[in-house]
Amino acid sequence: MLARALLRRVFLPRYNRSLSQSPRLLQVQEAPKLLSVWIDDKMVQVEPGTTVLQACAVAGVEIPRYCYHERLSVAGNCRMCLVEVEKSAKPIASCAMPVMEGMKVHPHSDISKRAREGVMEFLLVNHPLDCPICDQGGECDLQDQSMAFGSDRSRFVDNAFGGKRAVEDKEVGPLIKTIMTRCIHCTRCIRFAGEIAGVQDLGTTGRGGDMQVGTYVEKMFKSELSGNVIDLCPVGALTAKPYAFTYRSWELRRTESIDVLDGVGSNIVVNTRGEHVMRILPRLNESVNEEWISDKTRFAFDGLFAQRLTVPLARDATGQLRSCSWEDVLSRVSGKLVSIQNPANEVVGVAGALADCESMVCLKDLFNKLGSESLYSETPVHIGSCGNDLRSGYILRAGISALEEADLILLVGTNPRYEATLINARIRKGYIHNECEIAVIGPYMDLSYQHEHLGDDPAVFSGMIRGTHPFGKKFSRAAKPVIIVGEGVLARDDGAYINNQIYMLSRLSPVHGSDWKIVNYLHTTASQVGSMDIGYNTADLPDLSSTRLLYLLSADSVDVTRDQLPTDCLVVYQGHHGDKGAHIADVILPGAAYTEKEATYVNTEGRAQVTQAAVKPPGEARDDWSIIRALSEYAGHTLAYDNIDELRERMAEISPTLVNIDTKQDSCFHSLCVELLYRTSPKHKPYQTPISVKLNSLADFYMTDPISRASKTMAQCVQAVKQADKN
Amino acid sequence: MFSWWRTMQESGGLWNSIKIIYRRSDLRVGTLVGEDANGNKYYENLRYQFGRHRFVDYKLKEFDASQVPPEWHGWLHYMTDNPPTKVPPVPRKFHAEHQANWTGTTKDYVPYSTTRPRIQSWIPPTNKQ
Ligand code: SF4
Ligand code: FES
Repeated sequence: MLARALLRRVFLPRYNRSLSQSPRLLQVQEAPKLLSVWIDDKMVQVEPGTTVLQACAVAGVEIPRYCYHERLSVAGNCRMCLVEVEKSAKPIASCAMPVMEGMKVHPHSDISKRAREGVMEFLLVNHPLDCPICDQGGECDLQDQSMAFGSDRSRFVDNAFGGKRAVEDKEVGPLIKTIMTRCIHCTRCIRFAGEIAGVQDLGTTGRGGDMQVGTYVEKMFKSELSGNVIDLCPVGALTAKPYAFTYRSWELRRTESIDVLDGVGSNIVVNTRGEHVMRILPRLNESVNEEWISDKTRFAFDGLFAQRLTVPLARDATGQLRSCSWEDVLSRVSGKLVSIQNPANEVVGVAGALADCESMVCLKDLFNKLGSESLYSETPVHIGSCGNDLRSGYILRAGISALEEADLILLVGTNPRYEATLINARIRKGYIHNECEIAVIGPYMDLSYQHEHLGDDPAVFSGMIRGTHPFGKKFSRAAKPVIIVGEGVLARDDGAYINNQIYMLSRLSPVHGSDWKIVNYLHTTASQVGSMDIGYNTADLPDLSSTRLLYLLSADSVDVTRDQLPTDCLVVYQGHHGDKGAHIADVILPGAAYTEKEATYVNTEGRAQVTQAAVKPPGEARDDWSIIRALSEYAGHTLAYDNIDELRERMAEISPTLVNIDTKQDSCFHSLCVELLYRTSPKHKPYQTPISVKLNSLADFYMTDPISRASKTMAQCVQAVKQADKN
Repeated sequence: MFSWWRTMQESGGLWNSIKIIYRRSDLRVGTLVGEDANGNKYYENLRYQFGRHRFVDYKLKEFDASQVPPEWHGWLHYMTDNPPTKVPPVPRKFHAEHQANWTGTTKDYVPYSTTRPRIQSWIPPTNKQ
């Protein structure tokens, strides 16, 4: 023991040195002195650097604003936030003015009110006032604030000669409709594009009355986050193109839910009218998506209206899929299930990208009752010996919000920009505000921020570990390094080996073993972490030549063809879209999509979240877990839960994390996981194949799952991006 | 007053009368004026109050006023005193065959949506072999 410690001291002296000397680690933050500010005779104490607008918010006074936004830089160009401050000659723009000791602000004084009224009047003079035909109507800041702060009459009379200002509309792609005459030049969209999306496409041309917001030359606003400018735009200048003119905001009902089209689990609000999903908006969750969502999340919902499985289908004697009753299909599947002599080898289940935890638990319980353990998740994950036993070995342990704090991020085999858009937005946030450095192992990629490209050779790790590669040194100096391992590694046959190397590399870091979590995994599907929590096999699918029943639970990307299966094999597909899985199926059980059921999904950081049913499943489709529950009854192996609450209790037995809603549970036993990895490290060399990533271009991003593949809007986006790339 | 006793006897005895009353809540007798193509029988009895003296005995158990064909309809509703047995209706080429109302049967009209359904079902590809 002692000898080992000594050896380590000799060979790797840097550990200890950097531990004791790292300035960032040991830095003690001094509590800043608070400043006293008077807002309307009420004293508040705020930190230096706070703006007057924020200080007013602390005092409970909301200042009207257009251009100011908490997550964007301060522009100070709308002037709506003018307030009177004592000893200042003119009212000041409160969003841009830092507070000073003893400042006396009068947000309700006559001067403040007149200033707002004046600004409102100027804005309205240059605004078309076409609220009756504007999609923003009812949720428009300009409407609301002109009601609250504007004048009650207009002095604009020059209709005959000068007329209203008018601006040509810009064409920025299939998602965003622009009516630029309505623009009030707040520049929020420009700042969003530049700061958060990292696409410098938007900007202004001209000045004064001729100022225009646009893309300079006509081109597509090519960003995976572009839809957020629709929410940001305080007026109706930027609205959604795919569902323009289909609703008025006050007709909609809100259902708070979760997005399942990638592994991030963005929080969303599903807006419905009657039995139709009309639009999807982001919902604030600081630890997951802040207040943004990706374009796929926002616009792919029209895929829920196409290609739906609405009735149970079964193949007849001629091999044609025909609609039939639930009794028919359930008895057919259960008949096959009970007729199988040796279920351990002959019954195989595969859970796909959109499978929810409830149905995965039901399916696993049913299969286990029958005596089969052959349950696989669609995407194989090769991480070595701890497999899915130890949770800390396969989730994004650090958590999405912690990525902001990191000072060095190494992305291995992943392009988070398209695989987990909101995680990329976090990394970019760290890059901008925290000077985080990013390095990439994988193909060349455009991540919307600068990064070091370390090549795509899997052998690069050994150089880093041995200290011959300069990045190894940089890594060992970093105070908060993060390694994000993506599907490009996990899906490789030698993934376990690379994973092992990554752990070796993480050992170089001084914070290794501390609370800071270095190694993280990024999964790209909503079901992946849940399926591993439940205990689905993460190995490649076995040889299917003796399978007699293949149960595809929303599995659409699975690489199975009929030729691999024996002729008497019954392929059951349960899901909501007629996609790849449905084409090879003999029996189709129509399930519900994520807007139609209450279901648990675990995101890539291990946070269990629940979707809510905003509408009913179409036709005869049913909640997925209840289908499997019914099937179990037909097969004579009735599952021991009759409603969702009892099922959740069962889930809690399997893993408490599955019912611990919206909390990121700290994963324990990590040291055990690491230990296991070292002990059982595969000895072979990595293969020569370069490390790849799953999605590496915007055109790939839009269509990744049955819902977005059925979506017309997403198809248009792919077309538009390809067209734009050509030009 | 027409004797209820004679009415009962002419309707076929006590038991039959009860059955008839059960079926149409009414018991009447009269002279048979005619029968239509569907087998409904039309009676007249001038001793009843005016306006109630013509009536119909339906063939079907599930009867319904729309089973009366138009030629008998006029006579039954006192629009004419000539039953079609006396003055047959002039055949016209636009006369369609009489049809009783289908409401309540399986053939009745159910309003349907003329717009495209919002949610399109997947249509399985035709026979893969
Ligand atoms: S388009 Fe909207 S968000 Fe952009 S500058 Fe104009 S008003 Fe502001
Ligand atoms: S909010 Fe202060 S200038 Fe626009």
